[in-house]
Amino acid sequence: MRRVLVGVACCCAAIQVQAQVLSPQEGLNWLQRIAGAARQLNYAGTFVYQHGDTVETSRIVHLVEPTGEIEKLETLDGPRREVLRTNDVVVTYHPDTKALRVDRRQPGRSFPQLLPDQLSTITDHYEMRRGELERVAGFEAQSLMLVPRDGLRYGHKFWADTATGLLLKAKVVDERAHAMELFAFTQLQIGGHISRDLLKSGMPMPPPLPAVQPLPDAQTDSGWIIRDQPAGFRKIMDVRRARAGVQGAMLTHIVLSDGLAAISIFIEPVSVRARGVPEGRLIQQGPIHIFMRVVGDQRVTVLGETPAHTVVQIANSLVPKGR
Amino acid sequence: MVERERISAFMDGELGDDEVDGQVRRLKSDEHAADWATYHLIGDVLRGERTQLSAGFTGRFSAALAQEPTVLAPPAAVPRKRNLQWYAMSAAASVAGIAVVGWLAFLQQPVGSDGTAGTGGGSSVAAVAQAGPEMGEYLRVHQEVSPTAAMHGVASYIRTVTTQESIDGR
Repeated sequence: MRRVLVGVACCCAAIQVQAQVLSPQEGLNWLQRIAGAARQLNYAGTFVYQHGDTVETSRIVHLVEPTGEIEKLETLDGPRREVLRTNDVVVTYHPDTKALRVDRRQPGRSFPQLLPDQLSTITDHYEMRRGELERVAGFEAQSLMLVPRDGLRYGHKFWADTATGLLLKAKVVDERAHAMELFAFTQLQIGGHISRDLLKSGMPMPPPLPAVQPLPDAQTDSGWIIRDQPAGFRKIMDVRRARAGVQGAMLTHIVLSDGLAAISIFIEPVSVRARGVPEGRLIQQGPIHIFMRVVGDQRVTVLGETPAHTVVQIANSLVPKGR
Repeated sequence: MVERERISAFMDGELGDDEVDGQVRRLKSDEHAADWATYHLIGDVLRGERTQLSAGFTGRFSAALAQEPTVLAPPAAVPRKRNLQWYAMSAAASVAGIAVVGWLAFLQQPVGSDGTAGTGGGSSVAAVAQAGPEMGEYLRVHQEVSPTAAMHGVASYIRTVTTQESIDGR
C-alpha cells in the first residue's frame, strides 16, 4: 500500500513539474475567453481536422460586422462542402451536387449562455492544468489540459493564442491518451484586413430561408427518466422540436452535460421512418458515439462526445415515466 | 398537413404507403399538378439544371398522348434510374429550404449482449456502414448545444460535413 502511495505521489510530482493545476476560477476564465474569442474576433485561416484515420484540410473565415457574425467553412479535400453561418442561420452547400440546406439555430442556445451555472461544475469532473507555452501556426499558445476525474468522459487539451485567446489547436483523448479527434490551424491571420471576398460562395443565389418557420421549441418535461444517469451529467434541456424534412413530425430532444461534454437524447415514434439507422449497434465518428434502441413504440437515439459506455448506459436506462 | 406540405412530403418519400394512392389521385387535379411542376422547376433552377420546356408543356403533351393509338405489347424491362428518388427529394426539400445533403458514413462497432461496448478506439471498430440522413440532422442539432463545439466556432461544423458520401454513394 505504501509503495502505491509513493507511486501516486511521484506521479503527482511529475505532473506538477510540467503542468500547474489551475484554480476552478482560473480554468473557467480560460474557457470563457476561448469561447468569446471565437465569436468576437476577425480571423481567417486553414486548419486540419483529424479523426480516426482521416485527415482533412479546410479553410475558415470569421468576420464580425455591424449586422453580426458571418463565417464560412470550406473543405479543401475531397468533395467540396461549404458551411456559411450568418448569425443564427446556417447554410450547408455542396457545390458539386448543388444540394443545400438551411438550418436556423435557436438564439441563446449555445455555449456559454446555455450553461452559465453548469460551468462551475466542470471542475468537479475535470482537473484543469496549465501546460507549457508552445508554438502553433506561428503563434505563441498556452496549452491547457482538462483531465477527467473518472472514465465517463474524455480528456481535452486546448492550445489558445496567448494574446487573443483564440483556439489554435484542440485534441480529445481517450483514457489511453489516444487522440480521438484533433483540430489544428496550420496558417492563420487574426485581425487586420480580412477581405470580404473570402466569404464569397459558389451558391447560385442567396439561399432561401425556410418558408415555414419551425415551431418554437417548447421547454417541456418529456416524461422520460434516466434510471442510471452517469455521474456528473445533468439535464440542461428538454424540448420538443420540429423535425427538419418531415412535415408535422416532432422530436423530443433532451440534453445532458457535465459542463464540457454534452449528450443529446432524441426520441421519436418508430412510425417516423428511419432510413438506415442501425438498432443496437454503436456508431462512432471521432469522439462522438451514437447508439439507438427501440423502447415500446419510440425510437431512442443517444449521441455524445463521450466514451461509448456512457452513451450506452443512458440509452439502456431510459424509460417512460410510470413504467 | 396542408396539401402543399403533403406534396413536398410525397416528393421526399415521406408519405406512408397508405397515403400514396390518395396523393397520386389528388395530384391529377390541375391545381395540385401545377404545384408539383413548380416544385420540380424550383429544384431544377437551384441545381442549375433548368429545362427548356415552355409553360403548359405538360398539358399539350397529355393532349397529344391521348391522340396516340394504344399499342398492346409486353413492357420492356427498364432498369430503374437510381438518381430519380434523390432528384425528387432535393427538389421538394429545396422548396422548404431543407435539402438533405447526403449520407454520413460512420464507423460501427457491435455492442455485447449485456449492452456494454468497448471504450472506443480504432482497433475495436468492426465495420464501416452508412447511417441515414437523420444522423446528420441529429449531429447538427447536437452541435448547437455542445460546449466544445462552441469553442471551435464554425470549424466545429467540420464534424457534420466530414465523411459525407457523395450522392451516388448512397
